[in-house]
Amino acid sequence: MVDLDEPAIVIIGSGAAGGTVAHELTARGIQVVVLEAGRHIQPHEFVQEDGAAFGQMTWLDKRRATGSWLAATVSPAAPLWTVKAVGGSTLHWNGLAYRMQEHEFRPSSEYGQIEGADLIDWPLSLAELDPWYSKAEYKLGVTGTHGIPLHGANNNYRVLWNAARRLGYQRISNGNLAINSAPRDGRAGCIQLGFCNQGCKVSAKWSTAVSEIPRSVATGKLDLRPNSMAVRIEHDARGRANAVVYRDAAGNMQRQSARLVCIAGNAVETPRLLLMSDSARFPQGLANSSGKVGRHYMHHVGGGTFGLLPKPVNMHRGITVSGALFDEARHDPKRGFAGGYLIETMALAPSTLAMLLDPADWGERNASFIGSYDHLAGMLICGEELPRADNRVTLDATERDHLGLPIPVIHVDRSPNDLALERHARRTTQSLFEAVGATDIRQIRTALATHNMGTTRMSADPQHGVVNSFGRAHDVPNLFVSDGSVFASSSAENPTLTIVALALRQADHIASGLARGDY
Amino acid sequence: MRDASTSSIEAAVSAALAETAVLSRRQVIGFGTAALSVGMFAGWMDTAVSAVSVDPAVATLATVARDMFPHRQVADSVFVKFAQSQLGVADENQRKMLRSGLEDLERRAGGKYRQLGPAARVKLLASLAGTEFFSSVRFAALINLYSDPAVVGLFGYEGASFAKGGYLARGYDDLRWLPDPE
Repeated sequence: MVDLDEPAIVIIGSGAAGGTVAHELTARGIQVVVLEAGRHIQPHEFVQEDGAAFGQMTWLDKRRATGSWLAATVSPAAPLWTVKAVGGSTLHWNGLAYRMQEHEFRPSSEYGQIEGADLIDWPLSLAELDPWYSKAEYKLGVTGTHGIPLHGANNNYRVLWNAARRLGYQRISNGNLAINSAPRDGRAGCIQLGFCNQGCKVSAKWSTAVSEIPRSVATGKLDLRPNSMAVRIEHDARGRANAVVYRDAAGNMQRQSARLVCIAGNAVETPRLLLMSDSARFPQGLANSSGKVGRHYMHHVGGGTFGLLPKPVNMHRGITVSGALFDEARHDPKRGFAGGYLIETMALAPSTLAMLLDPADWGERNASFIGSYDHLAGMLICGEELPRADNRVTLDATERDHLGLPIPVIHVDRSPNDLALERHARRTTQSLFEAVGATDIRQIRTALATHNMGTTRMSADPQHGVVNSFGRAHDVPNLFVSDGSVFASSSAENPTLTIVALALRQADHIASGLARGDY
Repeated sequence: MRDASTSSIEAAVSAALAETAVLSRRQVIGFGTAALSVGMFAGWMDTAVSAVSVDPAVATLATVARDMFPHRQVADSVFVKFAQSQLGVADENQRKMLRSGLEDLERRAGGKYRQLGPAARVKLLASLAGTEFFSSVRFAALINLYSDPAVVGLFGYEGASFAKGGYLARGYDDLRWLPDPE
C-alpha cells in the first residue's frame, strides 16, 4: 500500500483506459495507485440473465438526462449503460475492436461546416496511431490481426452476410473481435455462451479485469483500491495536481498525495470530477480555462432492427455482436449527411427485446413477434454522432447524490445530421432484412448510452479543447485524461480499441516523461 | 359472449386456488415509470410474497395480463400465478394501486371485463394506456413472463448456457437455409 502522504501516480478508473495505463506503467516497474469506484467482480459471479447481470454491474448512481434524446424521456435518472466495477465497461462490452478510418481523424477538414455541429480535427492522424492500434490489437487478441484466427460464422452473422451480399454490399466481416477464438494469453477460447454483455464467465472476451489488472498486481507495483470514489483533485500553488480526495471502501474520506494524475472515469464521470474540482485558480473547474470541460458529449447514433425470418435463426446462440457491414461507414455527402455508420449483428434476450420494442405497442402484434423468438435476427446501427458544444455534462445546481456530490446532468439535442444518418441507416437495415425474406421488421430505439465520448476533447489549439494529443491537460501539466472523453469526434467505430491505443500511447509518453524527471 | 381464453382463465384460477403453496419468487417492485426512471432493470429485487389470496381480482388481473401478452403457447396458469403474486406484494401502496386500477377497469366494463369478447377487452385496455395501472401491470408482466425460462423456452430461447458448455457444440452456427458466408 502506497502511503497517503507519498506523492503517487494516481489513476482514477480501471477500465479500458485506466487498466491499460496502469499495466503499461507497472510493467515498466513504475508504482501506481488505482482508485476504482466499483468492486471486484470475479468471472464466476457473472449471471447469464439480463436483468440480474445489469443489476450486478451497472453504474446506477443518480444522474439526470435532459434534451431531445430518448434517454431524457424513458430513463432520465440513468441514461447511460456503463459498468461500475474493477475492469469498468470492459466487463460488459461486446468485444468489437475496430480502428477508426483515416478521414475520421479530420472531420472539420473533410466534412466542412455542418449545421448544428462544432467540429475540429484530431491533433493526431491515423498514421501516428497505427502502431499503437497494432499493439492494442495484439494485447487484446483481436481476431484477424497478428495471425489470430476468426471465429466461425454464427447464425446471426449468416443472416447479415447473406442480406448484405444480396444488396450488393462487399465489405462484410466477422473479424476484429477481442474474443479469443482459441486459448491465448492465459485466457480461454470462446465456447459461444451468448450475451457477452452479461460478463464472460470463461474470460474468452478481453477485459482489463482479467488481463491488465491481475498482471499489474503480479508486478507488485499496483496499489488497487476498489470501492474508492474520487471526489476531488487538488492542486498546488503552481497549479499542478498534487492530491486526489476519495471516499474509501469504509466510507471515510481520504487524501492521496499525487505527483501525476490520470483520469479514466468514462465521459460523464471524468468531466464531472474536473468540474467538482473547481478552485480560486480554476473557477470553472480544473483544467477548464477553455470552458470545454463537459462539452461535446457524444454517444453515437444508435438503434436496432429486428426481423422475423422464414426459418429458425437462434440469434441467442453465441457471440452477441459477431460481425459488421462496413460499406456505409464511408463519408459520402451524396447520402445527405456527413460521416458514416456500421451495421452490426445484435442479439437481445427476450425480456430486453420486449422492453425495447415500442412501449406504446402491446397485445397480439408484440406477442406474435416475441413468441417467434427462435426465428428472429438482429442488427445494430452504430453511426458517427457529430459534436455539439451544447451537448454537455454539467453539475446540477442543487441535487446531490448518495455521497452528497452534485449529480451530473447530461444534455443532448439531436442534430439534423444525426437524424439524417439514422434515417438512412434504418432504411438500410430495413432493406437488409427484406433481402433475406423477413416478414415482420421492427425498428427499435435504444435509449441507454454505452459509447460515451468527447467531454474533454483533445485539440491542437488550447482554446478548442481540454487536452493535447497525449491526453495531457492544456492547463495542468501533470494531469492526464486517459479515456474516451478525449475523442475529438465519435467516428462510426466502436470506441474501445481507440481508447486502448490512445492509452498505450499516453502511458509511453508518461513513462518517457518520468524518465526525464518531468513529473 | 364468452371466449375460450377467459373461461380457461377461470378454470386456471380454480386450479390455483386448490393449491395452498406460498409463492416465493423474483418479483418486480417499483413498477412502471418509477422502475424505468432508474434504468431498464433497476427495479428488480428479491422479495417474498406473503400468501395466495382467494379473490376475483386474480382472474381479472390474469385476464388483463393475458390480453397484454396474448401468447397462445403459454398456459393460463402462468398468468394466474402472475396475478396472485402481484396482488400479494408486500408494498401496500402497490396493492392499493392495483386494486383501484382493477376497480376502475371493471367500472368501465360494467363489472363484466372477463365476460367481454377479446376485441372489446383490448379496446378497453387501450383506453387505459398511459395510466399508472396499465404501465405497472404491463411492465411487471413483461419482466415476469419473459424472464421465466419455462415461458421463453416455448418461444425457442434456450436460456443460460454455461452449465451446458455454451453453444460451441450446440448449434451456434447451424443455420443452413442460407448459403455459407465466404
